[in-house]
Parts: sequence; structure tokens; C-alpha cells
Amino acid sequence: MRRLRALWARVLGLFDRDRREREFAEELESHLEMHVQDNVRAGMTPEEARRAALMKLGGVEQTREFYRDRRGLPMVDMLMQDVRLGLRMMRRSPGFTAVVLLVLALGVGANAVMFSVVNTLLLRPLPYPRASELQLVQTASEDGAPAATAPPDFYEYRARNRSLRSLSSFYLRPFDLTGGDEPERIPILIVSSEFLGTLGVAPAMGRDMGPADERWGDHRVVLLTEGFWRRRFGGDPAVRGRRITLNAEPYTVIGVLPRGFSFVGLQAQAIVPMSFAPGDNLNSHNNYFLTMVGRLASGTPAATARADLNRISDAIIAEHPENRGTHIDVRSLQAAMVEDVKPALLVLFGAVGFVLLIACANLANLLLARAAARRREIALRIAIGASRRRILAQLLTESVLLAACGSALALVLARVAVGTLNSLSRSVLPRTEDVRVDGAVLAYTAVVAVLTGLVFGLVPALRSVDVDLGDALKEGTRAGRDARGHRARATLVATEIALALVLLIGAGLMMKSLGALARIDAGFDARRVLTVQLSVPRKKYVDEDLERRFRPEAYARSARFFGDVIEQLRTVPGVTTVGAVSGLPLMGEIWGKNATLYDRPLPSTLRDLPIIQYRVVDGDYFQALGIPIVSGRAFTPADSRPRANVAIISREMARRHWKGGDPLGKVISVNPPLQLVPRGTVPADYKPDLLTVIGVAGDVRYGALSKLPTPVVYAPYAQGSEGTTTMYFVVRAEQDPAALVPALRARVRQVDPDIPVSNVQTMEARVAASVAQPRLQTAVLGTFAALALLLAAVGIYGVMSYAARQRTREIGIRMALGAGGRAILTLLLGKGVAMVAAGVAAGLLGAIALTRALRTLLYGVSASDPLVFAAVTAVLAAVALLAALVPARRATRLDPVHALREE
Amino acid sequence: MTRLEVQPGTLALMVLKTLQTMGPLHGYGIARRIEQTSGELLSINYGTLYPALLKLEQEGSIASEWGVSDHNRRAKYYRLTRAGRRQVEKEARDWEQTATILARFLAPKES
Repeated sequence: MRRLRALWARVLGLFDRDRREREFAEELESHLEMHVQDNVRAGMTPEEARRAALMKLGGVEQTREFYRDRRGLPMVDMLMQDVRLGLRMMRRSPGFTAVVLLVLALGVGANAVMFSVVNTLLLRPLPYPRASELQLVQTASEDGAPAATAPPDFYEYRARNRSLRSLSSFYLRPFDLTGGDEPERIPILIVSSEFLGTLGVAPAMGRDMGPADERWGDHRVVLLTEGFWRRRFGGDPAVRGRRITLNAEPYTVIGVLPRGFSFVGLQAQAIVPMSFAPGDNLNSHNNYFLTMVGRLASGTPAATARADLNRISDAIIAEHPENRGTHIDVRSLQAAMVEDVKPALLVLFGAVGFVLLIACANLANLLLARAAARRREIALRIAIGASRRRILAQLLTESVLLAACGSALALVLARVAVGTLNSLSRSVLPRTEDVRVDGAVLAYTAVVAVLTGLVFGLVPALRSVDVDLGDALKEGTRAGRDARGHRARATLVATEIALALVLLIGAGLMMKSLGALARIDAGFDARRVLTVQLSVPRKKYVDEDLERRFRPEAYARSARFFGDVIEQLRTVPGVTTVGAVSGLPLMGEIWGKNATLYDRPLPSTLRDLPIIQYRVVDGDYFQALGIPIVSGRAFTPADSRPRANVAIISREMARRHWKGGDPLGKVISVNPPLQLVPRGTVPADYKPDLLTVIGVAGDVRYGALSKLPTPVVYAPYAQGSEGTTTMYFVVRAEQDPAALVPALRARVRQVDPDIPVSNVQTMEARVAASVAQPRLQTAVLGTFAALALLLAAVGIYGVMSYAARQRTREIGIRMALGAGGRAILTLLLGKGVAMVAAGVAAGLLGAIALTRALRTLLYGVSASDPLVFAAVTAVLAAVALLAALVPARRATRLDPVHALREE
Repeated sequence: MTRLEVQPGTLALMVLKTLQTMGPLHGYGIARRIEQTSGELLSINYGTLYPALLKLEQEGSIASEWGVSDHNRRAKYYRLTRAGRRQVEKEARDWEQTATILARFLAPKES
């Protein structure tokens, strides 16, 4: 009770300090006067009396200090006092304060931005309830590469697993939306009926889909995303039950998804149930296109689910050998979503930490210089009784206060930067729309602020209180001439140089890698080429009955449409060549098939067949993209007919399978030989098409710029029984191809007004987009490195000019004694050179150790590329020496008379 | 003969006891009184008295108000509160016990 009462009294003691201070001063004064009077009465002279009274009291200042400690809570009290003092110091030297705050705002701000990205992508859970239970379930091939899953297999996993609360699957397809003002092509997610339930999401309006919606015939229902509902249906509250036409079939709207719903960054506008017509070839064991997402039963580890699903997988393999060599991989959905960007993010997060460290070193230097100037003040305070710990605490409070103010500014910067970053990285990062400056970022920044303040304040503060009172007071206003001060500052600058060098080398490697990417010959000529995507509805353009019987005539109508479009586009003024392909370069390896080479013994299992990329082409595809035909001939219009049975292979295919021999005239197929085709999946009279190789085309990078060309087989669109309803048109123009877009649209409308033209992009834009991620990474890392270089240069400049100023008198004497400018320059520069050399040496070692982390991000350049190391070191050394030279040169132009009069 | 330093913790009791016997008194008076009572055996830094007074006041054992001294000078007077009176009795008892016990240890052993 008494304790509590005392505590409360002490809390009150924190306030109204001035009045309490005055009151105590008065009490002490009255005490002293009474004592003096008593002493005088006892026979002392007034001076003696006062001195005796003071001695008996034990010092007014000490008594006050003790009293103060008891009056309030010394910790809080001290802190508040120090904060006030700190604010006063900040106001008193606005230039210093401005520099410190700017450096901090940049350093901490960059950290806050990177943290908000890392927090959103790597730390914050996905926006679903109990998101950690969600797992990406993928069929993986032997080498671990994830692949898709076939529908019948998914049904097995869904029905037979015992470890998941629910398992769902999905795939994304573009649908043509017609019947409105403008035909439109929208991406739609086709999902098994428990999809939303698995995620734990309920429709905002209407009903979720149920198992009944998967039944063929009842499957034409659709759930709209909130954005699509607003855009296309004006947010109609009575949209439920409305009919919309997708791929020429009527679908009933059953609900609207909640606002902000998104799934693994897919830009789907709606979801529809997954359903297959009886006998649909898609629903077979060798059509792999599904991805599965599952929710673990609560408390079940992913490993249990993996074992459980692989048990089912083994059972399926026993019945369906074509699955051999695959297994099921279960990974956290969140981890799977970010695994592409995670290494880059961590590298950048580390880099930004380096920037902050450099900023800290710089600030520590500034404070060291200031500490030297404040030596006398501090010595004085120690002399009149302040404890060293007390002063240490005060100095640290000052630096933390600076850090706190700088961090507040940093948060303002971060808010702006996050907005910019979001718009820059939309195509590169998943979930960027979620990146924001939130509570976690605030907390992180607060922690960083305090740590930063302590880090850059500790060394200067420790050195400040480590003074020899006699010396410091005697010296007058002269700041310390001690070598230790210089050594501390030089060490800090060397550290800055080392850190900056690591960052610069990292950035240099990334730039060289980006340059290597840009110089890659992807195998085609992107200049003046426009690409557009055209997709035809199956209902109208594909004879599904013939298709099931593997007749090439199944695609006769779509072949005619694509052929007509090519004819039309050719006549547009300004167009030189037109072709079409089922998948453009750099779009990804999207149509892999097993090839059979009939000029050699046939393998006994499917797994031994070589895998190739299959592309069907139309018009003058090779010519339009500038892909050379290196031997044989290109396709002619005569090849565009069913059963023309010709093929062109890529040079890589020739190299890999004919090893310098001549592939022309050889017979191949893009299907397994008949004896390896699983029975029941093909009609009784099925025979694989046998194609004759008529030409070899130059290699083209279809996967990505950084991916080596793989074997490709090209075939004319019209000849095969396996067609596609989506083709990408390649239009080479005489001049700027973008100007042709309206004319091209008009011509397509002439052929069929219901077919939307989508994905209009120049080939150059596609190439640029494919390097958007490395470009962004390089830009961000480059920015950090530039910042680091700037900070390091400022640091060197500061230390050098400080050292020169300190030695003004010495320089004056030397000059008076006849030393020339050159000698002075050498004298001053010597220290700078040593500093830079030490920093560079440490930085090189650091870079060798750390650039290894970049390895996965680099293309065509080793993580220890000597050229980059050398060039970057040279640049840094040049900048560093320049920063050292400027103040040193200024010192040589001193007037000796002036210099000697100094101090 | 050297003068003793004040044992920690005893100063508060001395202050309380002084106020109990002398009635309201200012800081200087309390300090002088303690020295006199100790028969000049104790040496205290008068400065240490004030934090002790503040502590007792914060704990509610004493209260203070400004008054006028014998010599017509403004001074802060401290007086015992009711809680202080209770405390002084309790602590005095405790100290007597402690002293008795210690005395037994220190007394020459009877064989």
C-alpha cells in the first residue's frame, strides 16, 4: 500500500517539474541560511560559515540530483529531460539535423518499403481463413519439376484421400463473352465444385457451386467476380439468374464473389464448374492440365498428406502405366506462390539492410565529429558531478531521437514509394495489390529506428564520455587531436566503402546479367512485328465428333477461318508478311508432346520417347518472325491441307537426335507409336500421323529468354488431327506496327464479327515484358547501390575535410617551413588512400562471400565475374579518391598566415 | 573518536522519531536534532536527508507545509501523519527486537 502510494506520488512528480524544482531550491536555500546563521553565531566569519554549511550539505548540485531522482521516476524523468535536450540540440544545429534526417529517411525508408513487400509476400498469410492449411498439390515428374494432373486422377485423389479436409482443382481458360455490346475475351477459372469451400470463401451474393453443378448438362452456371459484376453488369443486385453467353453457350449467373477475391494472382473474371461430356478426350489419364489445391484436415502435417496422396498415386500408376515416374508433391500454397520471387526479395532485403548500415556508419561519423566539438561541454558536466552513465544515456537518447524523427519521415517516403513500386511490379510480383504500409511495417520501422539510433550513436557516445577531464578542459575549444578519434572515423568510412562495394558488385553483376539477357539471340527478329491473339469458339468452329475420331477434318472450319484472316491481313497496306502460330516465342513451353522417330528402333515405354515442343503454324510464320530455314524448305500453301503429313524441326532437334546426320526426309510423329498408346483412349481405327521432315528451322527460345532452345516440331495448322482454337498472329510491318491495329481489327471483323481480337502487343513489348522481373530487380538493386556509393562518398568527404580542418595549424607550420602543396597533398591523401584501400579489400572479400546469393538471379555471368569485380572496384575507388581529394586540395591552398592564426 | 555513518534504513526511523517527539520541524532542524540526539556520534550529510524526507512524504508517513521559522524566515515544516505515527511505533518495536537479538550475539559468552 505504501509502495503503491509512493509510486503514484512519483508519477505525479514527473509533472509540474519547474514548480517542484523552484520549491526545493527555496527549501535548500532556507536550510543553508539557517545553518550559516548558526555557524556565525558559533563564531565563524560569514564566508567560513557558508563554506562549512555547504560542505555539511554535501554539495547543492548533488543534493538536487539525489532529490530529483527520488522525486520522479528517474528513468522516465531522465528520458523526458533527455528528449527535451535532444530536441533543443536538433534545433540548435539545423544543418546537421537536416543531413541526419535526410540520410535516415532514405535509409530507413528503403528498408520500410522492402519490408512491406517482404511482409506481404513472405510473412503475411494469404487472405483466406486458416491459410496455413492450404496446400498446392501437384503431380511432379521424377526430376521434381511440377506438372499438371489429369482429371480422372484428380477424381481419384479427391475421393480416396484421407488426410485432407477437401481437395479441389482448377485451370484457367479464356472464354468469349458475347451477347453484349462488344464481344470480349475474359479469363475464367474452371474449378471443381468444392473450390471456394476449400479456400474458405463464401460468395458475397447468391450461392456457392455444389457437386450437382459438376454434372454435364447442369454445369452451365457461373460465379462472377465483384469487379466483373460491376464493370459488365453495373453492379446489378438482381444479377442472380441472369443468362450470359460464354463460348456461344448460355450460362446462368448463380452468384457474385466477395470483393477483393483473388486466387494465386490469376486475373480470372469469373469461375465456372469443371465438367466433362461423356467420352470427352480431355477427361482421360493422359491429359494433364489441372492444378490441385487442398486444405489439410486440422492438425495434419503436409507430410502425412503427401504420403497419403502418393499411396493413391501408386495405385493409379499400377493401373495406368503412363503415369509412371510421377509422384505427388504437397507444398504450402503461400510458399509455392512466392518461390519465384523469394530469392530476389531476400537479396534486395539484404541489400537494403546494407544501405542502412552504411547510413548508420555515416551518421556515427557525423556524431563523432560533433562529439569532438562537444568534448568540453561533456567534460564540464562530468566535472560538476554528472555521472558518465547519465551522459551516455543522454547521448544515446539524442541519437535515438534523431533516428525516430528520421524514421517518421521515412514512413512518409515509404508510403509514396510503395505506391510507385506497386505500379512498377504488378506484372512481376504476385499479390502486389496487397502491399501496403500497415501496422507490421510501422512496428518494424519503430524497431529499426531504435536499433539504428543505438547503432550509430553508441560508438560516438562511448567515445564522448571517455574523456580525460583535465585535458579536455584545458584544451579550450580545440577539438581532440587524438589519433584514436581519427582511427574510429577511418574505420567507419572503410566499413562504408566495404559495404558499398559489395552492393555495387551485386548491382554490377545484375546489370551484366541483364545485358547478357538483352544480347541473347532468341532466334527471331522482333522489330516491326505486331502480335495478336485470336480464339475461335469450339462450338462453332470445331467438329467435336470428328475430333473424337482423330480426323484432321475436325478443324476444317477453324483452319479456313485462320487462313481467311491471314489473307485479309496480308492486304492491309503497310503489312509485309503474316503468319500464325499456336504459341509465341518466350510465352513458355506450353505444348509438349512425345515424339516418335521412326528411323530407329521404337522404345518400349512412353517414358523413353523424346519430349518436344509442338507448334502448329499457318501462313508465313517463319518469314514473318525472321526465323531462318537452315536446310530444306518452309511450308507452302500446298502443305495446308489434311494429311499433308509434313513437318519442320528445329535445329536443336536435329542436333540432338540426328547428331550431324541429315534429318530431311526422315519420318517422325508427334504421338506415341500405336503399341504404346493406352488402349481405350483412341478409336479402334486410330493410327498416329506419320510426318516427313521437310526442313530445319533456326532455334527459337520458346520458354524464356534465359532458357536454352528445346527441340521443336512445327506442322501446318490444317494438316493435323490435333488442332487448337487459339492462334497468335504475327504481322510484320514496313513501319511502326502499332499504327496497323485499327485496320487489323477491321479485317478480322470482316471475317467473323464475333471473334474478339485480344492480346495486341508488339513482339518487342513481349520481349521487354519477359525481362521485366530481372529489369526491376536490377533497377532496385542498382538504386540501393547508387545510394550506398553516394553515402560512402559523403562519408569519405566528411572525414577528410574534418581531418584537414583539424590539422590546419600543422599544415600552416609545414607550409611556413617550406613544404609545397604537393607534399601537403600527399600527407593528407595518405590517410584517405589507406582508408579506401582497407575498405576495398574488405569489400572484395565480402563480395566474394555474398554474391553467391545472387547466383540464381544471374544469367550468363558468374557470381564472381572478375571483369565486374575489377570494373566496379575501379569506379568505387575513383569516386572514393575523388571524395578524398577535394578536401585535401582545398587544404593545400591555405594561406599559412591564416592557418597559423587559427585557434 | 571517529563518527559513525548512518546505517542504511535507520535514517527514516530517526526522522520519524524526531518528528514524534519534537512536533513539526523543518529539514535543518531535523538534521541538527538527529545529530544532537546521537550525542554528536553520528555524522550525516544534510543533503541525504531531503530525499529521505521526500520518500517518507511520498509514502504518506509525513506531510509538509510552508511556515515561518523562529527567526522569521520562510521554511518548509514536516509533521507526522496518522499513518506515520503508526509506522513509527511499529518500526521502533522492530528495531528494539533486532537490537536485543544482536545484543545477545555480541554479549560476552557466559561460560
